[in-house]
Amino acid sequence: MAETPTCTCGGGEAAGRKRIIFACSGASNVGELSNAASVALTSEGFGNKACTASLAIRTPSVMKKVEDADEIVVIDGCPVECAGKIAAGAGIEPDQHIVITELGIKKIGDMTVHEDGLETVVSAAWEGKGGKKPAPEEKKPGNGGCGCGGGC
Amino acid sequence: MKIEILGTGCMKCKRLAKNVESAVAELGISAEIEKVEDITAIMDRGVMLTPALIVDGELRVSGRVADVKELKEILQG
Repeated sequence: MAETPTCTCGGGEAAGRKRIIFACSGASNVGELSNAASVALTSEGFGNKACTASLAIRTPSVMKKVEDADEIVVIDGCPVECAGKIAAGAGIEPDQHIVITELGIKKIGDMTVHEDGLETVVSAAWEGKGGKKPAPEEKKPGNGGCGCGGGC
Repeated sequence: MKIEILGTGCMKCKRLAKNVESAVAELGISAEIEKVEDITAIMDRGVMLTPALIVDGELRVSGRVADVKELKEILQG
């Protein structure tokens, strides 16, 4: 019996590179978008989403993933750059750091993820638009800007 | 330049097509892009893993999505 072509949905590594994706997953439209984009990018074979909260407490499993990765991609929703700061705190300099508001998507309190915004962020990652950024400076808690309502 | 994107229409195949379009646009080159979705046509080209990319008759990517940077390198030859 002749073999039929196999689709690689659910597996594969883009350009043979192991990428780990850390999203801020914050409580705003752009935060939710960062999470949705990291899930979509995982489905498309761009890389694998890893737990940013786990990176914050530097669990051995996530640090091993970081060690084994060829590229680290950080997706932040807004200029507060929580995920970028967590990465910096763990001694990581991301190969690509996307800040969604810099892609022209305005941050609002509504946490609905819209398809066109998702495509913008996912495409940006595939196109390598994030680039390297200097490590974000440590921000004192409570001085605003996050917009999640939690006073961070 | 003739570019063939092979895949039966799943999200990875669509993403490879989008990435190829971005790479062609960024390079500013002229290319004929054909999406080959028919399973028999894919098999006729000897491709067993999709998504796949054929450039001027040569299989360059198979079984994964190439990112825009890699595609630009491939298309620049």
